[in-house]
Amino acid sequence: MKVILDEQLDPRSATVLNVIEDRHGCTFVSLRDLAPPKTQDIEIPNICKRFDAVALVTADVKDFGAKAVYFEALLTAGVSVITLRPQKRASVLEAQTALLLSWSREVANALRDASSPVLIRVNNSGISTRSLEELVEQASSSGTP
Amino acid sequence: MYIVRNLLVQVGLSEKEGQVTGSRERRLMVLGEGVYTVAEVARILRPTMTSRKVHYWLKKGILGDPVRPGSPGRPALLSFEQLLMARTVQHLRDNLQFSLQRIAPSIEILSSFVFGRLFDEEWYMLRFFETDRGTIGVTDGLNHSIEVDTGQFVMPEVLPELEAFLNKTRQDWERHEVDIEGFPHLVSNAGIVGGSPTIRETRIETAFVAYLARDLSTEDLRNLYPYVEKEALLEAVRFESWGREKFAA
Repeated sequence: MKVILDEQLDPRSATVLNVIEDRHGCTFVSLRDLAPPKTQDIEIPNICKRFDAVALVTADVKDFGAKAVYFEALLTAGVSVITLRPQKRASVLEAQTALLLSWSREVANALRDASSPVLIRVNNSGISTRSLEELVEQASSSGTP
Repeated sequence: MYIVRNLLVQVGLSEKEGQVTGSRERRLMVLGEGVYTVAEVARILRPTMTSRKVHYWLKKGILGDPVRPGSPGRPALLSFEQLLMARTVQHLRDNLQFSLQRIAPSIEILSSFVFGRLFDEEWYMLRFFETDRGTIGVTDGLNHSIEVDTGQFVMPEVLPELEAFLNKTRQDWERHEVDIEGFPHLVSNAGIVGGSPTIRETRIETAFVAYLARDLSTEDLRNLYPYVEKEALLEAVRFESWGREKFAA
């Protein structure tokens, strides 16, 4: 099962995560190795399909406000999304890799168990998984998810 | 065009084949189109834009209906076209120097005419002209024109500048990208990370660079993004800390 790290994430994280591939069963690959910079969002689903990837790992460090809607659009296009959100002040790149490293089995299980694309948020406490339907329902009933 | 697109988005249909499938719920955004909160529009169109102005123009209906109306705990969302509309209204308002009594009605008439053509599939070369009565006219070259009374004398050189501005806006609409004033390396591209401000020609968000810069040196950042100019990284940090300027170059 392949997972793509978005352009802005450190490609070295993929190398580190792949060292323990037998523990989580995912192969991580950087978008930088698959496509040129400035890849358009609309190209992501095709890149995933071409390289047999199921998810995109991306950063979510700031409440852009519209980010949840962007994630919904990726899910709708058939791509699962994994967001990394370390606690405050644990923001170095190593911390991000460590975050994914700590919860890699849970993330992989969530991806395997999902029957359709899901949004997986990873922080220091663990992971939370939402389906597209849950995201839309949450967004239409109260605040953004 | 933007009205049609908004309708498509609201009923969950896509202009792009295969992008929206298998779900009955309402979709706010099709992948490849940007969505923006009011605050984000104001930030991208800095330094003259404010959230208050965008809210006011939304309330007056000048920017059309938002992609999603705001409610407590849920910000209103605007499309990329509406971001361009806000910038255009601001520019027209600043350059035509309306008298206070004329601003609201004149801007409404002017923007309605201009937006109907600026964001149409077909490109109309919009021309501004001054009438004998001292009013300002706009024509689309197809015998359609309107006149607005600014209530003030308009310097003749302003009119070609406005035409150039509208041409630039049309180009921005076609390339789905706006430059961020004062930050030549930064853009908001509607097709990249949902329109979040990024370093030009990359998917690297300014927010993420600023986040990393809290713990990494400029050299560390350059090692992480060897294909990005140092100045672009510094701009990203400055943009995010705008108003605080805590990051020394």
